[in-house]
Amino acid sequence: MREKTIIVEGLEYHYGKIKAVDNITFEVARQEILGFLGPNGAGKSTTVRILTGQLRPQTGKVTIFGMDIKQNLKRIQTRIGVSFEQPNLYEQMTALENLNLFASLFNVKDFDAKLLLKRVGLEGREKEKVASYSKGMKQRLMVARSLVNNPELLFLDEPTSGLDPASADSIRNLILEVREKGTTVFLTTHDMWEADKLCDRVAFLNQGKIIALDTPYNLKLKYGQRSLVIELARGNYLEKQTIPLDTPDTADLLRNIFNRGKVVTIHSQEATLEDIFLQITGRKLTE
Amino acid sequence: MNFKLIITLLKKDITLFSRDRFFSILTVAGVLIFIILYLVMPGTVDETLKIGIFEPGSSYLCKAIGQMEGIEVHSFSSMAELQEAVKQNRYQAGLLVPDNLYQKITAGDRPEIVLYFAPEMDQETRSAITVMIRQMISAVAGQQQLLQLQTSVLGTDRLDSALPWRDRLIPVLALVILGTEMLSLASLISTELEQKTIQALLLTPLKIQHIFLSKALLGTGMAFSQVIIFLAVTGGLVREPQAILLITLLGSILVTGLGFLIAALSRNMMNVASWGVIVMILFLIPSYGALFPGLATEWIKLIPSYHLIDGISQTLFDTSGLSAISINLLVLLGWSVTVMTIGVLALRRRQA
Repeated sequence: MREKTIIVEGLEYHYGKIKAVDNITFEVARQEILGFLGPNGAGKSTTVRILTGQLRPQTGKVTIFGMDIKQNLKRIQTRIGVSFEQPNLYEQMTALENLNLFASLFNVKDFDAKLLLKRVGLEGREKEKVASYSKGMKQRLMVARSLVNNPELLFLDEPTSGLDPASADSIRNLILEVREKGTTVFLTTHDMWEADKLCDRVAFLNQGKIIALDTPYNLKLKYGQRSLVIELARGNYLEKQTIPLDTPDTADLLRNIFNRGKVVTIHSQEATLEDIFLQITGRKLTE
Repeated sequence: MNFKLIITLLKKDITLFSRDRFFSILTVAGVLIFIILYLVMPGTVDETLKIGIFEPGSSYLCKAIGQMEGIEVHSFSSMAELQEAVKQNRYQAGLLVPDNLYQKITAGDRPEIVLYFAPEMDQETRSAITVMIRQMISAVAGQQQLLQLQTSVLGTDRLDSALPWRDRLIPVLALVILGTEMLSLASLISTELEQKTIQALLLTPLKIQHIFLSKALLGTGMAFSQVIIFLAVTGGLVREPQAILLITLLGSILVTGLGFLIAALSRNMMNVASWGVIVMILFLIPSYGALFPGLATEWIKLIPSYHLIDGISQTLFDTSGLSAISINLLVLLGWSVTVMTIGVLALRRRQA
């Protein structure tokens, strides 16, 4: 049984009459990457703000590193790292100054800001003011800042948003690297492919409630429908047909297609997390 | 309280402050300009009364007036010349004496003497010169005139120790420097709130109290040090330095609290500037009392800056010590504590 880094029990949060988080319960094990997925307004940000101590839970209990967040907030915060979606860096300071400031606040000994900047691909630009950085560079610096105190728990909110594919890949590799060193990662993202690739488990959040929480594989197995996509030659054009793979009629449907003409291509297709979310909630994740 | 954290925050704020071109230029240039302004303004008051006279056919009155202490008299050869000189403010007053003044007096006529005033002369000075000229003429010409004279002293009586304009400006310029620092601090805090960097700070071992304390130290320190530099250069620390240091410190705390309040009310730099201008206009109202003693009315004392300006004025110009300005100090202390408390609470609410 793996040690639990986060235990959330019956958590609720209201903004006036609006219930942003509605009685959610979940656990995150040490070294696990948990993906928190949901459309805008689903309650992801509120949950992250509660878990990082920016909001006090109104109902329910949050335990992090075995400590109640209400009583041990500052002790917990020294052991976590947070990367916000919107960069909130000191724009008139250089990347080095930004990182050294936070290292000093966390009282990190022998901190090597240059090495950390190299890890996020910002070497050579460390002495430039952040104001001159592109959005992607700021995003990478945000991730670097969240790692300054070698956190045991890392909260990443859309860490690859706005990054080019190569930069996004380097950040994903960095996430896997810190996880290998023992860090637990709480990842909020809209990128289903990223969630599928990085996360050990994903939680679907809708209208403040967790509606599904499992490994991507299990979710696909449980909710997803495999299918076959077949391209058939029909004179001068190609006709595309999709048939379900796991039904009693699949063989008959397939035979029928082969009888109708020449099959050009045939592929099996798995459901994506996006499809599964749509299937469960009737809403798109990117709404 | 972890002072290492406070020092780290102060270093960060000073770095950010120094990189804000607008406010760093305003801060340095502001103090320099005010010091230069002070130095180029006349350091003494010319109390000599300059009178021009056109006295056809005689120079008796001119000589007699010229012998009087504190009066410089010049005889003109034509009425037009005299009128032009007075009109151009080169003479504060001009006397037009009729022909054959003494024969007319002897004959029992009442000759008419015309007194011209420079256009920019205020009513009080006109009255004073009128009285003086009547007395001189009666003394010289021997003509008895019964005059009912009423004199009153407006504000601080500086008859024997009139202040040069540049000295009168010292409290006002000190207030403007404090106001500039208030805007700088408000801008710094507002930017921190707007860019949400404060959120990142609060996820470190820092508590909100650390942030407030560092901002308060920075604001008060910057405002205090700049006013003290200005006062040191302009000689303001020579008399009663303890009283000046104390009242400047209280003034600095007051503007720091106002900086907090403005930052809490503002969403961007334009808001900071707008609120700042409103506060500055209000705070500069009592400065008229320093520039024009006697114009200050009772309601002006309700404005906190009155006690700052009045305290500095009294200390600088009347060599009043701590005891003489104790009321100013107490009222300023009350305002400083109140405004700082409201500022911190407003900022805390805004941050939450």
